[in-house]
Amino acid sequence: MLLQFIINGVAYGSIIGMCAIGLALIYNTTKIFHFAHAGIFTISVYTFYFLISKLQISLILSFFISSLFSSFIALLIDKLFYIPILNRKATSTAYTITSLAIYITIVNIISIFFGNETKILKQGIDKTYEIGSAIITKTQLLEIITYLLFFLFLFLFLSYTKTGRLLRAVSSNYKLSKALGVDIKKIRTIAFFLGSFLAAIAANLNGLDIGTDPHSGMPIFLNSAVAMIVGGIGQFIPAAISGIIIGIIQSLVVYKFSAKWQMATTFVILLIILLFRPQGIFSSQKRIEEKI
Amino acid sequence: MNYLIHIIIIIQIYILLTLSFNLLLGYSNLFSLAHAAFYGLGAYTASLLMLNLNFNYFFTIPIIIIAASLFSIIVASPSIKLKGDYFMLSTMAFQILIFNIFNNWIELTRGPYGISGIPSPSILGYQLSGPYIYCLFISIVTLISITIFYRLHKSLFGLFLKSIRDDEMLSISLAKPTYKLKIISFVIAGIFASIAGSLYATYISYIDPTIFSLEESVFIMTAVVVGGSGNLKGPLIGTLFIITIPEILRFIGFPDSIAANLRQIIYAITLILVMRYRPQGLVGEYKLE
Repeated sequence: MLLQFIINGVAYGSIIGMCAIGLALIYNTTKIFHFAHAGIFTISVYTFYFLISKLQISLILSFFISSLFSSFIALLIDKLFYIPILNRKATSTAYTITSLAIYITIVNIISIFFGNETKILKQGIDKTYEIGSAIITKTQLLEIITYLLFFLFLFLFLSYTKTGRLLRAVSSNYKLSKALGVDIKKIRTIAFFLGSFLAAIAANLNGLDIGTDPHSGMPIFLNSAVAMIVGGIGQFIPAAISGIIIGIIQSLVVYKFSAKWQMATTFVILLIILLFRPQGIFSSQKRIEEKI
Repeated sequence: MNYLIHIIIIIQIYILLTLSFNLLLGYSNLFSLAHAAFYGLGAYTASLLMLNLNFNYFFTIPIIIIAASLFSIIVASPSIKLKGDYFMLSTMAFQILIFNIFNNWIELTRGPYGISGIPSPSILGYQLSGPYIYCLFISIVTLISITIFYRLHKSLFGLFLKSIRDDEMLSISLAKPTYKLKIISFVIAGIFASIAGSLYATYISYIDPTIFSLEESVFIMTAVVVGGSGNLKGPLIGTLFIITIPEILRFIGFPDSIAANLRQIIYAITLILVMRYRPQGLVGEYKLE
């Protein structure tokens, strides 16, 4: 029984982890607390739903079209809404408010067009595999495999490619990178595109697994934001790992107590981290002027 | 006419909420997303005391003030040490925890079913029920509150908060107790939000957790940001805007199924536009840059 909950936790954690690393890419390079990430999540899964159920396009093709489409929407959001206030030298509050407002707009537009009820993306019952006494569905397995692939890809990308290293440079010291002539705009675009693409893939997989409604993006976004902070700001890979940890903890809470305390658990974790280790569990102590 | 009185009462409840939120955002530069938690704390404390222990409404007020102060200190003392996004996240965490307690602690709060049959306040055995009497009562409360906030605005305390908002390092170097001042402002804001909650509960006589969710915190924030913060005009104008928009939409005659979504979209787009073109809000003093 416990094994079953851990498997469910890892599968859900893979979704959170992918979203978290996407959010980390965006937050670390731009310092925008990107609530609209949850909106991108919802846009992707609804586009996916629209393509497969209304336009009857094949599953795999719609999967990728919807992910790319929502990533371009994210770039558009950056160009239309974030860049203008960046030019005004806005503080984090202005970004947060703008981002929250974009999220609210997206969710309500989707809700007008598609309604508030839960949409099921896949008909029939998933194929299942047995692991000891527990079972894992094909979609859950797909989630975990995709997560591992992206994990590997990002690790290699951030460690060994020039763009990946520049991305890390910008996220560790924005001003210095700019002074040294790093093409900040390009890095920003890459971060937004890649980050949103990850969220979109996670959204589509999650939609295949448990269906979707217009508000399904927010809980996953909040979990992934907590995962990002637990992992430590300025870091990429730890965000993905703590995503899995949060997924497992949530699943264990369901096992021990009740599903209704899931969200509360995440935020208790966040408060503990913010109180005792605001730099995250995987980061070392920062110098005092860099402290949060 | 009763409809108009109802709108006026709701506007006054929101004036308490926005004025207290303004003390946080516009004076101390604390972008809190926990305001609806205080609103709910007041509402639930008043309702539970009145229904379970037969308290008179006016005797619940001291208890609400104590509860709100304690909760403010619990929320503020760790959160204020964090900056920017982290402060926002920390308050959001408290907001979601409180919502979960309202929603899931069914033995105490009846969870999603909500609490119904909350009695109106009574003075010396005289029930303050009926829209006109209640409107008079709440107008007195609002007037007193506006006076208090005006005095705070003019006081040295208000000036200190503004100095922290504009240049925190300078205030620290002038030996101002910035941490303590911010906590005091958080406590005052929490108390007023809780009182607004108790007024709402006794007026509507029914509460459920969804009224005090994160969305409500965002809603209060919208009113203050759109109206403007840092003075008293801003929140008042913001409240008028945010309460009258849905009523106007109702008269234009949009179908009910999309009216709620449309209202949200209008608020959100207004927020985006305000952030882009007028960061101080319509009549505000503090620029959210």
